[in-house]
Amino acid sequence: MAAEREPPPLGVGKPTDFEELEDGEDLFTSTVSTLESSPSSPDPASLITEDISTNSNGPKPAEVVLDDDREDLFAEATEEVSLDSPEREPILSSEPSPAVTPVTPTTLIAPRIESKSMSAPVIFDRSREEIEEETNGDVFDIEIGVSDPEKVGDGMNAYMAYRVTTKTSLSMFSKSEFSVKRRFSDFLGLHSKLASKYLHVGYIVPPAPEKSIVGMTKVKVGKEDSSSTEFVEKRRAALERYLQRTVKHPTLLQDPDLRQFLESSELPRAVNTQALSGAGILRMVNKAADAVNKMTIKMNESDAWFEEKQQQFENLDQQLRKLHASVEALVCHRKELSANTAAFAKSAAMLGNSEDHTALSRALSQLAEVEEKIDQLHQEQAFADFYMFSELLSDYIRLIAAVKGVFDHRMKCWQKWEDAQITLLKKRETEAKMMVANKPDKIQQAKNEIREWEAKVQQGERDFEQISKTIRKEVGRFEKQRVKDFKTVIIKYLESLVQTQQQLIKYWEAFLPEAKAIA
Amino acid sequence: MEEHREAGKESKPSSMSVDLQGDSSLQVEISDAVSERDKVKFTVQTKSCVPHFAQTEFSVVRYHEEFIWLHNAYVENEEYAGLIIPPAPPRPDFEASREKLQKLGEGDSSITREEFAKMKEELEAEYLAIFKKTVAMHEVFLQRLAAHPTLRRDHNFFVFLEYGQDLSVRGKNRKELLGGFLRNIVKSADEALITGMSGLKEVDDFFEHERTFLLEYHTRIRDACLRADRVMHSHKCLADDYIPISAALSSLGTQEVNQLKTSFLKLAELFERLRKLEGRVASDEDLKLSDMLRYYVRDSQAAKVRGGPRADLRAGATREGGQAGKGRGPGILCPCRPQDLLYRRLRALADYENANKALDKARTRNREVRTAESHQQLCCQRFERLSDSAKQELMDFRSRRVSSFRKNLMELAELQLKHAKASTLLLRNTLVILKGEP
Repeated sequence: MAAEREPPPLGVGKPTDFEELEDGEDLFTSTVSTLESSPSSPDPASLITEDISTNSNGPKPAEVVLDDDREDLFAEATEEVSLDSPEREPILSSEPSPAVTPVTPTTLIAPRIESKSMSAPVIFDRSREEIEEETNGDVFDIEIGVSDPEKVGDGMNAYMAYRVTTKTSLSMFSKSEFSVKRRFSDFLGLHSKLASKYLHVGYIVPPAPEKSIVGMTKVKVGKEDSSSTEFVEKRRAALERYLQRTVKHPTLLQDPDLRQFLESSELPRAVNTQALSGAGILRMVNKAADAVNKMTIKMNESDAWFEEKQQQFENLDQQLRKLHASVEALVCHRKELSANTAAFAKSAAMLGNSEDHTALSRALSQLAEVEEKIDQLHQEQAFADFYMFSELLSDYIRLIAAVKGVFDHRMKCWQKWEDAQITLLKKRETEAKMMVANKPDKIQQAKNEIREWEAKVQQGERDFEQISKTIRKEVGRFEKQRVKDFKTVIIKYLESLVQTQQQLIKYWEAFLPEAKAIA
Repeated sequence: MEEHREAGKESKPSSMSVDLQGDSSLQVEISDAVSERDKVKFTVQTKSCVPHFAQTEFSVVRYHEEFIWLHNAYVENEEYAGLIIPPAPPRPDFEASREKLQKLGEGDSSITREEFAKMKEELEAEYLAIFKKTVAMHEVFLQRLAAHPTLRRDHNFFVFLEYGQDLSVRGKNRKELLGGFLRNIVKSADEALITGMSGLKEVDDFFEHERTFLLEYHTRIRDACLRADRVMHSHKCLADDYIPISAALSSLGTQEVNQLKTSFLKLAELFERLRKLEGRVASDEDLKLSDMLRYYVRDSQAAKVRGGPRADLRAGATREGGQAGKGRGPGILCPCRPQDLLYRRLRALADYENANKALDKARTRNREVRTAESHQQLCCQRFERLSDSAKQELMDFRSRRVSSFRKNLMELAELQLKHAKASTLLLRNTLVILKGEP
């Protein structure tokens, strides 16, 4: 199929819709058949709403029935939640949300625009991704943008405030379009809350962007140079991708903390996210303790799937790191190339000025102009290299760390179950001992404890099975998303390369007659 | 080091910078070249119907030092004072390339076998390219001499082309080097004096214009050449970056079990091909732009009046310091600095003026008038002869320069177009495949 297709016309997105539409439909039918895996495979017809809205002007709502499977899961989860952490309200309603069209992953890519500033994100066409999403039952109509970084305050207390804009038709939000101002620590606070709620039950919570003391200090101090603007832009883009990934997670989307983050105008300051706060230090200590524990837990893995997957992710992590390092070198060299080309352009212009042969002089000036334009091209390409390719890789490196964390939690869960079993055994032994020693009050105590620990063992087993189930599902979802993300970004990146080459062709074709004209 | 043989006619970029009128009575070319440990052995072949030679076709083996000897012989010959002597070919310098190959050999255990093989391939290609270039430089030098109506008749040239044995040219020893160095200083001082002499009026507008022109031109073209080199170097770094990227993508692809497998593998292939294209872009830039500019840096050096002793020292030490040995333009310690044509002419003019004054003095004193007169005659003749040939040479220089720029800029544009089109095609094909699969 691929071979006969003519290459799609260039330009970012619009004409390609029509060709890819056929593709989408093919996809559609094939993925439906694979849905048999779920026990109660839903009637394909009820799954789909073909809503190909391509922009944010209020997409039409439609009905969607979530997997029965999913509903059960959620119902169970609600129960679990109330057992373990009483302070948490049920995280899900069991009725299906009237979600509609999906979020596009393509908003993560910074657009290729003429000017050097890349502040306003452009929402590209989302039609293909929508159809794919719908077939999986993962349909969401929510778009997030992070924009307008603004410095608030002065000196070392200054911070950057970002505007978070949400466009949605989901009914759980009170409005269809709204925006709030948030600062970086707010994002970290959100992540921290979500992580504490969901990570240990096996959900892959997307990690927040990293802190950077150096970067922020420069911004605070007020250096208006290009490196601090670049830093802010890099951070803005990262925050946007972070939110987009978070809302794409069906479970996390339902979380009230997330909702509050997106909606409410005032947010309590998350001081626990500061690196040197008490909570920060506690976090570091816990991390160290965890690392030690991981080494000492020897789990009897009854399910080869988990071992396989862990190995897979380990390998993937290594490979991605290698690739990321190489791509960073590429970005660096391309920037160098751009700078050197600019310098050469200037000296070519000077040479042209001192050349006394008129035609040659003109040709040299033209050469200087061409080289200047090429320098600009290289710079834009370096941006694309970075924002598309390099940042995708670094995002996934951190995501995989979150995945590994989830596997670790499963191990801890198992350990807890194991410990409960061991304790139960001990309690039974104690009971037996008491029976022999004939101490009736102690026997009663022992019986109570046994009951208590029997319940804990049961709970432990349930928890373990639950987390295993959740992880399986999460990993499945994660992998699907990963495939999609990578494919989309790869295609966009290659298109950027094509565009650069085409521009080069244009420039050199314009120059050639000038060279020929030298008489 | 392994031996590299010059493949023959097709691989020679020899006419890259020089537009030679084919005068078939004396054809010189370098038919073969072999790299031996630290020397390059050139086989110089001559075809000629000049009666002086014993045969019509013959060849000899020459080393770089012998080329330099020949160049110096021309430069030091008074008779050629009015001519631009073609610049000497740069010393063959494989140091950088050799170092890189060595580092690769010792290198890094973290790179895979395929990466290693590719990098080795790249370095070998680089080595080969440098080799070809150095052969071309030597050949162009000889061909320019053979094409020049006066220079081709030089006795030393014949000896160089024909004498079967080793010319026993030793490099200058320390004393001679020092002598040469001092001579250059004296020359610079002399130049400064002459140009500063208020009594010395430039009689010819043409030369006045040429002087200012060449001064500025030389500086700017040298600047352009340096920067072009940096661009080329960046491009090469970029191309080299694709190697580890391609390798990482390839291992990612082999590990994946899902749809990304084909994507990654295809991407790995794509980057491998792009690397080759980028490499070619870099080397074409090098050949058509940098080398051409470099050649004219040296050629304009041969023609101009230097801006004074300070400028030389600066040029020798700082600007060209980092690029020593690349033949960028003779630094002050180079023994084969060409006699600057305009300077020589000015020198002749100064001599002429002095002779006039001496004659006047002799006449007033009425002593040794005859000698003074004949001396003055001699100076006058020399000056006029120099002026005429200098004018011709400078005009030749200009037209050579213009046509060479034209040719090279055209070829540069055409090659860049070709590579950009190939890249586009390659990228588009990959896109089709990637978009087409589910």
